[in-house]
Parts: sequence; structure tokens; C-alpha cells
Amino acid sequence: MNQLLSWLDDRTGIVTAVQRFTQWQMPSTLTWRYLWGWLAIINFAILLITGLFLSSTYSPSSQTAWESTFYIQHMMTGGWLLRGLHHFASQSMVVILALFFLQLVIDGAYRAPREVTYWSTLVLMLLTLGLAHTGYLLPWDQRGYAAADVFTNIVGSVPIIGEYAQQVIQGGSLKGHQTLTRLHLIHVAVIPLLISIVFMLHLYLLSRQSQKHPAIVLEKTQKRVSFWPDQLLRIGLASFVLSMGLLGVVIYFHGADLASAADPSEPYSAARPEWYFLFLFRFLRTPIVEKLGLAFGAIHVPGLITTIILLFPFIAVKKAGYYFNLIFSIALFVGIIGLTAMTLQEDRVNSDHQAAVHQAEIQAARATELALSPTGIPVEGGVYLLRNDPLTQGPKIYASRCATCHPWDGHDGLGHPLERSGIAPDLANFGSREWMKGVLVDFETVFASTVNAQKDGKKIGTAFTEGEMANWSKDHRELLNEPENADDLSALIEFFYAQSRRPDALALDHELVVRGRDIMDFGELTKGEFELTCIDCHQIKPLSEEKTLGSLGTAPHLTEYASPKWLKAFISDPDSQEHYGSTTNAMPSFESQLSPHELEMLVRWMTKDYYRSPKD
Amino acid sequence: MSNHGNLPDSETMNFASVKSSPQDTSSETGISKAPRRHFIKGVFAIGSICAALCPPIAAGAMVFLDPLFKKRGSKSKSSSVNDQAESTVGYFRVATTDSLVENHPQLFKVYADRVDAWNQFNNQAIGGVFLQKQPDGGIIAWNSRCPHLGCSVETKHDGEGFLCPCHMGMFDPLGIRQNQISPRDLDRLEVEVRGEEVWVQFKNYRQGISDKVELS
Repeated sequence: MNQLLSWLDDRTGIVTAVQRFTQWQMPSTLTWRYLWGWLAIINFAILLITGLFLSSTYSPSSQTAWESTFYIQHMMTGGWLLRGLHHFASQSMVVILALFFLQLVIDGAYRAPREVTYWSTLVLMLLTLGLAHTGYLLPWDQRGYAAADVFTNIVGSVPIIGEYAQQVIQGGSLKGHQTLTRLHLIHVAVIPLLISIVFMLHLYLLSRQSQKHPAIVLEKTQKRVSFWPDQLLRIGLASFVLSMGLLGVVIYFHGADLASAADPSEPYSAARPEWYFLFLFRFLRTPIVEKLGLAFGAIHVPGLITTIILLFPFIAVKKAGYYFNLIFSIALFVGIIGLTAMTLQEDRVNSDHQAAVHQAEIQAARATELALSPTGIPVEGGVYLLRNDPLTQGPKIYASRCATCHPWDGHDGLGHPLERSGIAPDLANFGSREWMKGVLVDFETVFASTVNAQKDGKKIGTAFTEGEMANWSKDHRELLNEPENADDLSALIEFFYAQSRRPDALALDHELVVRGRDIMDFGELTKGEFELTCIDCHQIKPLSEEKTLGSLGTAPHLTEYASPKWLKAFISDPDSQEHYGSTTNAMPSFESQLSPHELEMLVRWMTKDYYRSPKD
Repeated sequence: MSNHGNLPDSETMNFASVKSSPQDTSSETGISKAPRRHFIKGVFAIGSICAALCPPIAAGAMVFLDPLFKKRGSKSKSSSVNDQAESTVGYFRVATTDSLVENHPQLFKVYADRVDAWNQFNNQAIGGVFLQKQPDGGIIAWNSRCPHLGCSVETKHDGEGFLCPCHMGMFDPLGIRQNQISPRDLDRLEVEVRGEEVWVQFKNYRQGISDKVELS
């Protein structure tokens, strides 16, 4: 063994180097404080390992980035753990580097002859921040996309070359496949390569200093410890605590979040950078900085601060300079912590932001539910999960187009309170058995709000509430509510309910439907009969029957009333003779206002025709 | 790192004495005093660093080996267009009887829905089969991949049998190999005629071996 080692040492000098390293002496007062650099190396190793394995599945393109991340997170064994470790290790890295920096400043460890070592440390820190930021946007979820926006725009704000640099980094004037392939390259190859080079330089400088200027490392101390094994044990224990801490955090938070897939067409007002960049985010949003422009806030000021930090060794040539550096650094930290705390506090009390965050969480959960459904993630990309989801799109369309007149369960469909009371029926239970019952025995209440509706600037007033149907409803209410006729009423309701053929329809009682069909047609009840049967006014072609009953002209047709098909036709053209006709109706035609896709989303939402995972 | 662990402390001392410097004499850790304690400390140190790296390595290994944990046979299922009449698992409709010519093998594609990691592709061509109508009315089906190394076999220009263009593997009109290039005959597949439709139980087999072993 000894011979082999001597042979190897003769040829390479490795054994001597390792020996010298393990014999390395350091002042015993420094031992715990000296750990930050080592902890950073261990943390970097964790990032490297997890990142390497993530790369085995992650696929950078705008149609696969979110999708592959989702696959890692939700469908691969241990994927959430791997991604969680990578995510949280990137955060602990930032914390460790910040404390390391503070340590350097307090020790004045940048003073001659260690200026270059200090600079290489700073460069490593900046490169690590670059890693953190590029990594944040790679999942290409709404959050990552927003971060990419900020990043590329900041690059774009660099004087002179900014515009070109932005196009090169984005891979074009818009973000897309090339943005991801390029940022991915920067994240996994360019920055790690630069870090390796600078780190090698850093190691070289450290070893050179310990040989050439041992007195500097060991100035004015009596007690010493050697690297092997005492300091290594400290490093080991600290690494273990770090790693277990990370594991604990990952398990506590169930891994890292993944928002819904990036959709540039959807506003994402919950956008925030990672917490350690919040200070910059807040700084850029300060009115005075906003007025001075993005380049001022994101390039000039940070550039100036970085320059001062780089100049610390020269500033500290005199004793006062050391204190300047210390106070400058502490002020910087206080400023950063202050701005971060301010942002967090402002966000906490900002109900709009909280609502946006809540909305984003709902969308993320919905995207997850759909992606895990039997149909899976569409080939066109995860963004179509929500774009083609009635439960997501329906309420938004309802809120912007319908809720001005029709409330939805008292709100606007999205849960926001209404600005004014509705002037048309609440449609939350439209097409249900209760709705059918209301229309039959309590028509004027269902349509009560229409008295304030306007047609061409004129109120339509009592056109509905005192119209023919309202009168029929009033005239027959008592009869239909007779105890003997209870089954007849149920039958009539069941018949109309059956006509809707809605995807969300509950199980039908077919005997009741048949009975209801005859009551509709002939108006004969157990006790008494209708003065006017339904088909005296309405036209209807009952389901699975060949013949159309009644005639059109006096009242809306009821064929497949409240079905998706009927709803689409009605929303497109309520003025039609088949519906309310142009005289009493106040509802505008939406044929030209809604695209076919929007109409489809709206109607499918109203009829609850969308996927829900079985556990709900 | 393992270098550290393997080094007996006596060697450490050897080297220390070789490069003794003014600092060493003032060391109070006393390497010679307690080599055993040093060794234990060292083991603990390296052990805890290794332990610290365990979670990322374990999580990474799980993800990397995930394909081994995925359920077998879930990768392709009969295409949605085939759903109406499908009764037996693994059968695919590939042709109609009237499109077959006696003694003249023809290549048909097999379409199926395919789950590829995070995507589900509907109605994708997942492979090819040769169908040949026999004089007695029976139909023979072969997987079109050569059992040698998986190239697509072609019908010979003279119509007599099959040829693999990659390595010149030859097969007669009944799929029996004519030279030693392919380790086995062309892979026969089960055929069912359902009315006018020809259904084939499509399977892929491992290449390069003389036994016919189904790929899961």
C-alpha cells in the first residue's frame, strides 16, 4: 500500500497534496466560522446531483418543459422529492452565500494579499444567483414564465446591446422553444462551466496562499487545529444537519410548487420572484425607481453596489475603510431584509394579491387534476388543459359577459360580489329540477328581476312577470300544489328535466317521465286539469318521438329545453322566433360576441360538462 | 475522499514528518497522542458527509430508475377507433379481407393509442404487419421487424419471400429463414377474422436471439 502510494505520489504529487491539506492548520477561533465555504461546496454538490438526475427527464421546449416537470413531480417515483431537494437546496445556497459574504466582510478577509481570492468568491456568488434565477423559470409554469419575462426584460434594458442581447437569449423577439433551450443551456452548462473554472482558480489561490503566506491565515493566534480530522468532522456534521434540514423542509412542504402551465394570454397577477429576489422586485417597484427606468434599477444601481463591493480591498487600505466596508455591507443587508419584509407585509395585507395567489393555486390544482385524468396532458401542451377546460374558462366568460345581468348563485360566477343587483334570473340552478318547478309554479318570482331590464333604452317592465306564462303559472299554482297532484307535478318536472339531456342530469325516473309527457300533452291531472296545456302555446318535439307537438308563434319552443344544444342556440340568438321573439326579449344576441370556443366553454360549464377526478 | 479513509494514521505521520514546518511543532492536536480517536473522528466525518449526500442520490436514483417501476403493458392500448368491436386484449384491426391478395404478402400498419411519458398520442402507427392470404383461405400475419436487429423487412422484388435490407436476412414466402443471418424465422402473429375485418394480436419480440420472447 505504502509503495503504491509513493509510486502515485512520485508521478502526480497527489498524496503529498492531500497530506498537506489534511495537515492544514487553522486558528481554533476560526473553526466554526470557517465552515461557510465548505457548506457551500456540499450544498453545491447536492444541487449538482439532483440537477443531474432531473436532467434525465426534464425536456426544455415550450410544449414539454412544464409537461416533463409535471411528470417528474406527480408521476415519477420519488420525483417530488428530487425536485423538492433541488428547489430548496437552491434557496439554502443563497442563504449560505449571504452569510459567507458577511463573514468575509467581518473578518476583512479581502485584504492584501487575498484580493483576488475575494473577487473569485464574489464571482462565484454572482454566478450562483444566475443559476438560481435561470432555474426558477425552467419549469415554464405561470410563475417561471413571469420570471423569464422579468429576466429577459432586464437583459433588454442594458444600455446599447440590451435589445440584441434579449433577442439572442430569448432566441427571437418572442419567448418560445428557443428561450427554453437557451436558458436551459445557460443553467446546466454555461454557468456551471464558469463556476468550475472560477472555482479551480479559487482553489489554486487558496493553496498558494497557505504555502506562501501561512502567517496570514494564522495571524496572532496560539491555539490551532488541523483539518484532519477535527475540522473535517465539523464540516461533516454541518453538512449532515444541512442535508437533513433540507429533507425535512421538502417533506414538510411536500416538495416544490408547480403552477399551471405558462399561458401568455392569461394575466398572472400573483407573479413574484423567489423570496431572495423580492428586495430587487420591491426596489424596482418604488415609484422613484420606476420613473428612472428599468435599467437604472436593475442594472445601474446593482452595478454600482457590486462595484463598491469589488473595491472593498482598496477601500480598506486604511483602517477606516474596513469600517466603511462593514457598515456598507450591514446597511445593504438591512436594506435587503427591510425591502423583503416590506414586500411580504404589503402582499399579506393586499387582498387583491391574496386573491390572485388563491386563484393561481386553484388553477394549479385544476391543471394537476386534469393532467392526471385519463386523457392526460394534450400533445399540444399543458397550457391547453386549462384553455379547454370549461370549469376554468366558463366562469370567466360568465363573469365578463353574463353576470352584468344574470347573477350566478348571488355572485358573478367567479365568486366576486356583484356591483349591482341582477336584472335577469340567477342561472346557477338553470335546467335543474328546482328550476323547472320554479318556472311552472312560481314563474313571476324566477323572472322577478326582469322588471328592470331594458330593451333599446326602455324598461321591458312587466313583460315577463305579468306575461302569459306568469299568468298561467299563477292560475295553475294552486292546482299543481294540491296534495293529490304532488306526483303529477313531479312527473311534469321530470319530463322537462329529461328533455334537457344534460351531461350532469341525475338519474331519471322513467315512469314519471312518461306520465309527465302525457300531462304536458293533455293537461289531465289526478285532480282537475289544465285550462291550457303546454302545447296550446309551446312547440315541443319530445325526445325519442317523431312528431312535433304544438306550433310556434306564441311562446318559445321547448324541444330539448335547457340542453347544451338549446343553450347554445338561445345564447346565440335569444331574439329568434323559436325563443322569446324580439318584442319581449331584452337579452342581446351573443352570436358575434362569443367565439364558438367560448360559447362551448360557457355552455359546458353551465351544464357541468367537465372532468372531475372521482375522489371529489 | 476515500483516500483519507484508507490511510492508516502511521502513514499520515510519515508524511507529516517529511514536511514538518514551524507550524507543526506548535500544533496542540497531538497526532501521535490519540491515533485511534483521530481515526474514529475521521470515519464519522466522512460518514456524515456521505450521509448528507444520501437523500439527493437516493431521490435521483429513484427517478432515474423510474422506468423499471412503471407497470408493464400499460404503454399501448388499442386505438379509440378500434374500440367498438374489440373483445380480446391486444388485438388490432389492421385490414379488411377484400384488400388481401392470395399468395402476395402486403404490409399494413398497426394503429394504437400510445402513452409516451407525459403525453398520450392517439391513433399512432406503432408497428407493421405483413398479411398473406393462403390458397386455403387462411391468413398468415408476421411482425414486419426482422428478428435479427429489428429493421423493417421488405417483400422481395420477385415476390418470393422477404428480404431484410439491413443485413440481407432472407425468408421464404412462409417466413422461414433462408440464411443464417436472422437467428429465427419471421415472428408469426395470431390472426382473427371478424366478419370482413382482419384483426391481429400485435406483439414485439426480442431481437438477436433464437427464442421468440415477447417484449413487455
